[in-house]
Amino acid sequence: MSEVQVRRKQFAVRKLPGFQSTAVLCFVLLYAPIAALVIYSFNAGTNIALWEGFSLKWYHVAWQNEQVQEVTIRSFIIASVASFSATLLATLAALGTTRTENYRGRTAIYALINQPLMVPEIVTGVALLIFFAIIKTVTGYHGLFYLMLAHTAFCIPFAYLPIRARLEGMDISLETAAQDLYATPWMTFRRITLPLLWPGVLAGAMLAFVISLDDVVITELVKSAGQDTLPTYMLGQLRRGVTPEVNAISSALLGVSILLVSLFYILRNR
Amino acid sequence: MLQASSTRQIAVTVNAITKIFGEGDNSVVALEDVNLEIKENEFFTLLGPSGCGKTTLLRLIAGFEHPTSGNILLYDQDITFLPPYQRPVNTVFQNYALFPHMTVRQNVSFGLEMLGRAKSEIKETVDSVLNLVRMEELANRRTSEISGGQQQRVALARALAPRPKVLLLDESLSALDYKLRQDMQLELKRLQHETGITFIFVTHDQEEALTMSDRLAVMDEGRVLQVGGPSEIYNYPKERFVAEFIGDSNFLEADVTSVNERLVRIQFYTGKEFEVPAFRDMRVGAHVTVAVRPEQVTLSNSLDAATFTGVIENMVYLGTHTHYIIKLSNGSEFTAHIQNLRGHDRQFEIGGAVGIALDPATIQVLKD
Amino acid sequence: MAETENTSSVLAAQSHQVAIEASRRNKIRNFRLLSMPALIVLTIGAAGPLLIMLVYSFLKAAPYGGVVWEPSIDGWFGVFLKKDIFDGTISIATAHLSILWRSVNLSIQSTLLALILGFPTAYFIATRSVQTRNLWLFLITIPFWTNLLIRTFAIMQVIRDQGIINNFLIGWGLIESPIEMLYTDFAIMLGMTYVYLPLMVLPLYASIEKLDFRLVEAAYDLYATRLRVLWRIIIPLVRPGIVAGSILVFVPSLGAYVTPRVLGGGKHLMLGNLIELQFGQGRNWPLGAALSIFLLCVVMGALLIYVRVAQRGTTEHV
Repeated sequence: MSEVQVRRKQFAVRKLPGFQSTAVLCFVLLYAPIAALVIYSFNAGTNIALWEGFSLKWYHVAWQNEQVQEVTIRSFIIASVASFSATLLATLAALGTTRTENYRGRTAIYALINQPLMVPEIVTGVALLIFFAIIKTVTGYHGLFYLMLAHTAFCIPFAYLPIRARLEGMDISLETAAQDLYATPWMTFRRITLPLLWPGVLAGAMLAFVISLDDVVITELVKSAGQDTLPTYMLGQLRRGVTPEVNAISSALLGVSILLVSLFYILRNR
Repeated sequence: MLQASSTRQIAVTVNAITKIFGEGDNSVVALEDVNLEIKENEFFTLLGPSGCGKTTLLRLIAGFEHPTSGNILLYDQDITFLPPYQRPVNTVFQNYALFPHMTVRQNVSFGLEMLGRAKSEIKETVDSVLNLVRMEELANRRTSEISGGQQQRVALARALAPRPKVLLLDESLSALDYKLRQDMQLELKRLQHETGITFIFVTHDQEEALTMSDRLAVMDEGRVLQVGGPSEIYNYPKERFVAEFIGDSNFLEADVTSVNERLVRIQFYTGKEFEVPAFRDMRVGAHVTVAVRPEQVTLSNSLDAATFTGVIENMVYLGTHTHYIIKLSNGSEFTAHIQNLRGHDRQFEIGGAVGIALDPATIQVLKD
Repeated sequence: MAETENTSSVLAAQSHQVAIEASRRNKIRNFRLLSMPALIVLTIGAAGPLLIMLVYSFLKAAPYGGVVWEPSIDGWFGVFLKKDIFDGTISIATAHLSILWRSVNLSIQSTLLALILGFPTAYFIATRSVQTRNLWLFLITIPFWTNLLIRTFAIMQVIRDQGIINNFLIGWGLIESPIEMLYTDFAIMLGMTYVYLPLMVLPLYASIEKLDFRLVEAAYDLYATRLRVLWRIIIPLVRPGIVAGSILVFVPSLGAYVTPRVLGGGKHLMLGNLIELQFGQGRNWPLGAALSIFLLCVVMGALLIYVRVAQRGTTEHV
């Protein structure tokens, strides 16, 4: 019996020495710091390095902090406005760039849409700082509109890409078939294109929302006094070192991001 | 029969249509001066290799493209520039193009809804059309949950539901496997018969075209080469391309030796002469190409009476037939398909000399 | 008679042509218009201000921030050189150069580290079964979409003096006093590798996933060892992915702002921090603008290489 069971080592074409362990190490390195951050956000003690038992204390502290409330609300207002307008604009642009024969200047349009992905954030941020400083002096307006405009602009490519991918994956003969069946162009759009595009639009909106919510650099440079968002507030808190409270806020924000990104993947694969 | 069909009304007139895609140096001529008349309640097929322009012609009739010149009439109405949603013409797409976010019933109802028909009428029509294609039981399924053959039926039902004056079918059977395709061929004929709608069918499959069509147009490189009934096209191909594309043919060179009013006398290189019907102006001394179907010749061991003589280079046994590849005395190749009869096996051998006899009725003179 | 008929039909054909052409143009114009709102917002909110910044880099700095509308090349001059305020001698701005050097050096280091970690990871994912592949990819992308600041915080807590690593090492008695890692160049390098690692893995995965493993089999069949297969077959074939991943990590590292600020503790500046400084305490907007444009040019150059390689990659493998 045992003679029959002699194990012969099989040759695996795809295997390379040490690759699997490096990959596992990589995943561990990727998640361990985040896991530590989340775990320590539940720490009862004040010292973030020593575990003193499980507690929701710091979430409570953060929740009660009026400043945190204020910046959170501001973050969500900006992210909502920016993701809504960026998605709307990106949907129109995606329709305009995919649903017709190639025309001159389309490459230029692609370049302009993807520009925020290529230019370093610090450069865009500084340029906006200069530009808005001029407008602020001329108009005297210091409101949230500047942040909303900047966020909308850099969210457009993130909303545009999944929407365009969806449009390109969509069989154009479906629209042709609808027209053949007496649907006018508007009815074709309403009954065929839009329903099929909708998951892409939602996915784009999710991504735009996350991107806006997470932005630090451009917001930090563009904001006027008293316009902190959650990330810039956290960056400012850093001077006092990382407190367990910041840990709790970070974990909560992390949760929101992961939720939205998961939704994005589910929608994209539908 | 011929009388009856000629008194039928013309449903679609394709008048001097030319279609050029692109501009300048990049332009491609997809259709060149195409003229066709498709009769009411006819099963008409556009047959040709891929890229011959048949699908473009179909798209012009459907309204998805507009011609560069010429016009298209539906009965007496000029529809050349009518958008697709205003033409009483429906299409069964090659990939079916079923709406994936709708059920079978919603797909079939779509056209009627767009036409603004009453709900009760829509339900009634959809039920009867689903019944016609035997899909009533799957009416509430999603289109992704049904098989390829069923999708085909839904696509057909969707296009038939608004009762179009003309139904266009774009390579509609090519995605199905062999058995299903044969069933659908019969099904399509039945539907056409029951609905009385004019069908325009596009295919590259000559067998399918011959089986299904009342008449067909053979196309190549944007031109219509020949229009006629299946047997007319098969037996009397006017051009080399038609003779080659539909069935197999041997092409032989001959010289014209005398010309009568209706008959011409042609001579092959072997000196054998035949009288064949003249269908065009021919001068004495002109050089012509003739086509001969491989199954319409006889082989024999007697070389003297034969039209041609040659040596058998290869033979392939195919059950009902045996194919012989014969090298003629002038060096060219000739193919003969000889029916196998029990007890007459193995008359000829590879390397053996053989005589080929032609019947004058089977010799088809081609245009240059 | 026949002639007039002819000309009229020619005219009809011409007008017919014109009508088709016009409707085509019309359609394209309508579709172009759809992109307009997005393009306007992008021009105002992203691309246009870059031009204003270019203008600003050629103006004179105002003493308390902002500019005086006088042409000057002081901004550009200040990128590499400095003038002594007392005797006016010109010397090389060593502080700027060292920051520039740190930016390039640390970016290259993190790119290499990301490649060393990312290549096996991408290979690992690409050789999983089709069903599990998406899950592994998802695990790689999740950290990427989460807040960069938070991930930087996370790294900070791991490498602090009282962080997980030091506590662990002291607890086991391996060291007596904590190793100082936070607020060093090493911390910045590690942090950038950590936050930009997904950008290395994703393009690498895309390349490796397309790799035809029959080629690998053929190489083994021809007596190649595993290392030789890796070196002579796999790496040359996935080179476009390696270049893409490297540039996608190098470019944001070069322009990094948050990571060096948090992990460098304000002492170890990179180019991004130097730029920001000119608009804060430095109050030298033209210099900041010039530095930004300089950074932009370097980044664009790197992206140009990326586009070139990506195009060659697609034509080679079609």
